[in-house]
Amino acid sequence: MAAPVITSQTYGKANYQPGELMTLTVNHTDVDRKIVSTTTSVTDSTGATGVGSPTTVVIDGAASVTPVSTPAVAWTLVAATLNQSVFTAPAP
Amino acid sequence: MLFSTTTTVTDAGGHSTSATVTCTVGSGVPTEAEIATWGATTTTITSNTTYSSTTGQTVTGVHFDGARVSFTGTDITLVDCVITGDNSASPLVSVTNTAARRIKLVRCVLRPKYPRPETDGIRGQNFIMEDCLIENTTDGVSLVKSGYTSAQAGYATGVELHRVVVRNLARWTGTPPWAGHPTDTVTHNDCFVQVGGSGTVLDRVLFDARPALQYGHVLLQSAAGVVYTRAQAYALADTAARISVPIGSQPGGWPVVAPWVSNGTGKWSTGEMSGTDFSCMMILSSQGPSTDFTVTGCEFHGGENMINGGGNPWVTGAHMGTWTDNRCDRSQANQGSGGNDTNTYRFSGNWASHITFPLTGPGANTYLDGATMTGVQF
Repeated sequence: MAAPVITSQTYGKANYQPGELMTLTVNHTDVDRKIVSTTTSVTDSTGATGVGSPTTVVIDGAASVTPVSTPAVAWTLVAATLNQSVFTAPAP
Repeated sequence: MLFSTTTTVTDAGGHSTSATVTCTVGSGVPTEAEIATWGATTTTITSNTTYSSTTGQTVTGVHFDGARVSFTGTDITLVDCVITGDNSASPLVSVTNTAARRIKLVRCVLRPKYPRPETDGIRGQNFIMEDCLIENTTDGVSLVKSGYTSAQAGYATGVELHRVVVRNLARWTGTPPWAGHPTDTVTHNDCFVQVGGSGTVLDRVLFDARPALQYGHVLLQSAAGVVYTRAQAYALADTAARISVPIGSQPGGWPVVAPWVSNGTGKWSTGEMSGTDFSCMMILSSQGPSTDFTVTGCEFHGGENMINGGGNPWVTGAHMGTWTDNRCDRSQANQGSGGNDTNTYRFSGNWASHITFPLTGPGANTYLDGATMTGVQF
């Protein structure tokens, strides 16, 4: 199993004023991640088939994305997908 | 203040990785406390000095007292030096020799010992400045290519300014033609002037194009005719009257004319003394178009037109580059409608679709208080 990879990490801009809301966007991947999709079908004795909606499960997905800053600020996760986490915090 | 964040991503199997990113909080431009540490000198040189012979040479901690520095070699670095120039029309630092390349000044102070109306801070191309102060000069940084021919239009300037401060420009008066100007009665001062070329980088620079007080031919006095000390002049209230000593009243007959033209606002904060023809950046095209700037995180004060690109009209195929996260005050002498409609960024011609210049959103260029700017002209 391999460690995940941070492909990019960026602030919303290069300079913030104290108290201004900062944005931190972290893009990450994991080569071990497997996304398993399952679709169940049921066939009766006449051969008729019903197909259910697919279900998806992520194996070895990112369990946590944790930013720690100097000086310290309280980052809030405002949006997240499998490959991207977006945080905001007031500039110190 | 540098602000760094280390993010750790951990997967369900307990594997993790981390990465760090840094930005600045606050303006990012140098603070007075930082500036005070630049130019710590240990050795004094009092003769004119040309650094030419040693490729890769680094010179540290030298006070060029009454001496200027002219580079004629490559890969030469000055660190923590003070350069005051000689008593000539030459700039304090010259990088005009065509053999001078990759010159670097770090934590240096350029401040003239002999006040003269021709004295510029640094002139030439192919140089990098990091954490440097230029003050009391006529122009601060002058980008010009020696021996330019029209076939070289669009040349790479090779100039990068990182956290450079240019301020307290020296205002002089005279009867034309004179050393300060061929046709005008006052000097035309620019923190930065570029006459052509491409690729100049301005990174977190602080350009203050308001004239130095109690220096050169700007000498303020009270209504009762008492000349202020420098500290008193800078401590005047925003709305206090700025009264010049009378024309011809000083030894040698200066000021020859009124050293500035009131713009009618009566306030230091709205550019009362910032004309005529000061600028933070004067962008010209006498050596082909000036293009492809990177100007980011900078702070600008004053100027008649703060960024004056009127002499650099757009030409087919040209791009002005990327201008982001810059901030400015409202002390431009040229106030469009008075007080809050300042002539800030003035480009000439059809640059609007040939420049990256956000006014809102990420990277927006704003006033110091974050307000959306007025008076931007493409």
